[in-house]
Amino acid sequence: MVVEAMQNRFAHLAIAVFLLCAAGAGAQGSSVPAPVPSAQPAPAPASPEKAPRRMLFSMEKGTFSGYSDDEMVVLKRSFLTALADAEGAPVPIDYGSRGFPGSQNDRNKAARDAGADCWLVLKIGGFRGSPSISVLSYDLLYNIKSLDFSVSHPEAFSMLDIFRERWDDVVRPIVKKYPPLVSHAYSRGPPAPVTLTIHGAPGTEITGLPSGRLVIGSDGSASVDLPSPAPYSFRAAAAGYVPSTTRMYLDGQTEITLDQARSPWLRLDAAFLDGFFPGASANFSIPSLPLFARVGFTTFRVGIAVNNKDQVLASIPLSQVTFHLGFYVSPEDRSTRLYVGAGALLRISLPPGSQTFTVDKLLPWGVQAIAGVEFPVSGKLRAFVEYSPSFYFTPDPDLFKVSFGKDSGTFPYITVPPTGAIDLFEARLGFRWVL
Amino acid sequence: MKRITILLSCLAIGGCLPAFLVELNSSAGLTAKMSSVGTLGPVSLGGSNVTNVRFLPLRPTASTITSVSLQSGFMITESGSDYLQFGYVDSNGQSQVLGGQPLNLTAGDPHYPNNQFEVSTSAGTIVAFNLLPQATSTGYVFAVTLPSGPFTGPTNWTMSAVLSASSVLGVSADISTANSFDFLFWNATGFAEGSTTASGTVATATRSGLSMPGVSTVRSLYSTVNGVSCASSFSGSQWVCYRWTSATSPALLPGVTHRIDAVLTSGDLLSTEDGILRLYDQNGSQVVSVSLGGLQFCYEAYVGTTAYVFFSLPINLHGNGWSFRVYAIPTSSMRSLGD
Repeated sequence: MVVEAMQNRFAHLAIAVFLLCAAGAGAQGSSVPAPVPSAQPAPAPASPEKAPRRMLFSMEKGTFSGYSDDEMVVLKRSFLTALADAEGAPVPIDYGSRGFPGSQNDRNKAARDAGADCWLVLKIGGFRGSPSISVLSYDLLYNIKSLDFSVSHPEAFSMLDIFRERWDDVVRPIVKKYPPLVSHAYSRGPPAPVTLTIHGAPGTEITGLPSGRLVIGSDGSASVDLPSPAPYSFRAAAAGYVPSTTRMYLDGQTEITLDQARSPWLRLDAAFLDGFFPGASANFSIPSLPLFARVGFTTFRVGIAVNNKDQVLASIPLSQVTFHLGFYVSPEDRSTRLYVGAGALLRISLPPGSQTFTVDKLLPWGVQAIAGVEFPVSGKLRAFVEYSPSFYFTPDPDLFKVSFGKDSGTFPYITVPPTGAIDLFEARLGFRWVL
Repeated sequence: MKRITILLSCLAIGGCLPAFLVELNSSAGLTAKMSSVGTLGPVSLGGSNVTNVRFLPLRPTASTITSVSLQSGFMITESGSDYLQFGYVDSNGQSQVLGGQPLNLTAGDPHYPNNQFEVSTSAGTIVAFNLLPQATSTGYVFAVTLPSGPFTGPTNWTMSAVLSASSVLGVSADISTANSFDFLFWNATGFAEGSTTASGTVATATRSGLSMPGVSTVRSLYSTVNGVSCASSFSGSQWVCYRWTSATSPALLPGVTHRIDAVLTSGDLLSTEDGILRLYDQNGSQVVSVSLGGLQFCYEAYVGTTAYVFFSLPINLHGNGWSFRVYAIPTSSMRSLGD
């Protein structure tokens, strides 16, 4: 294995250096720009069964790039060296110094013409002292945009010591996305139909296969005829399970089993309302429906307020209980998810000297809309920001108005005659623990 | 970076204290059983260090509780020293305050109020009695030309001139007769009762030679409807109470250990000491004990032929403003407050 790995790295490096030299020669005077190697480099197979992917590659200056053309050549050489050193990395086919085609179709065509099965564009932008690297790549085999991200380099590239640069933030995702494939993935021969049986949770809906929508039956399986060999990508969604996208290379196998994870039934929130008032809530998933029910509690016993006369710390004997129904707009397997909902709130108070809670007499209840976004933090912990404009009912609108002081207005509330008020400036932010 | 920007934006738009008036909730259990008579305010009482705000509405003249309209009243505040102001609703429906009058009241025994305010019946007059134990007491009479002033006073009303050679120890407004007050005073024969008017009419001694052993300073209350009188005194470590009628001598009520503020026409004794409403029956047994939650006892007054007990609720608004809500409950329903 070690020998194979060394051979692989050596092959990559050799090809990269060869292509760089060709590109450099083209840039130095040839009227024929660095062509996409029409002669397809023969990749050294990673193993007797698998071969590395072939990637049309271009490195360009991004916005505000602080590096000269000569330095860009050095950076490209450094990157290609790092890529060649990575085990299982795709073989780069340098597009040269010409501007890479702008449209995706043109890029795809350029890649096919070069004998590549994917393409990659790196843009070096930002300031010299803090360059950024944007990565865009397309997989022609799976027909998907496989990489689209940017990374920031913490300091300027050290041009005098550039070959120590490992490009880990860029190379690792590339290697992960483009593992070597079995050789006959590149076969141009006619595929033969194979009956594939997919095992999964009953009711799972599978979309994205050329044969159309497929539903796993009550026996936990579904069969479909598919041409093989060929790459496929499909999505599986079932109530109570986290949707998943499967990418596979069908090579005659007749059965696969979906890796389906149960949807979480409970999400616990710890949050601050209006920035600074603590609260907690529990979000319960409703089985078989993309809905959640939430019960929440916020206290105003301790917090920070900007409109509390001349004091920052605020404490009033008021709490708020909320009940919401909502649903996630974004699929469950998205890292960033949007959700919306609506519900009611009840304000309760335990005044000083009292032993029992009472419903607040000024604004006893209200209705509330919510729109939030949550994103991953670590493991099962997610962060969220939620906008929650509220309408409050007041049985005493006159007293409500004057409660803000004489001739002071009612900010942040907007009065809604005859007995209501809207607060458009309510938001929650906090953390959500997915169980 | 984008996420941090979102979070900071949320922080920027948040951070506002929700609308809330603690006084409304503190007294909610009691006010739910009362009739809301009206609200005066918002008004500014001046300064941010105003404390011990009280509101005494003018006594009602309507014949039914639903037709009672709160139009004005007196505000007593402390801001270094006592201060008396008059608030009213002008023709535009806006609440106004007439310039305050300082009350140079001498501090007395800490167990007693430094002063006692009585709003005279059906008139824009309030008397601040400076009751000093075993000393010459003084009444300060303030008058307002209704509905909107001017607000004049004080006119000093030296009690000893009315009740010669006596020290006034307690006073209560006569619920049935306008501008009439009942007194408990100390003279050469001991405790005695009398009555007079704010105009300074010579008092009439109605009862003399009352004996209340161990009592030196009292807070006296008197009801002319059923002839029941009561005197509270802080003796030793707690309050003691004597009760008598026109036909009986003062008798100690051992069950009453809190200051009595009124003898209701029902015969029950009302205490609001320490913000707790307590009712005692004529035998001194406690029948009700409930937190007032900020409500303040004003007085008992007739609305038509029905006696009501009036309470006021000072509400501190944002920005040093105040609003005053007045509630009333039939005297006959007072015991239901403990349910």
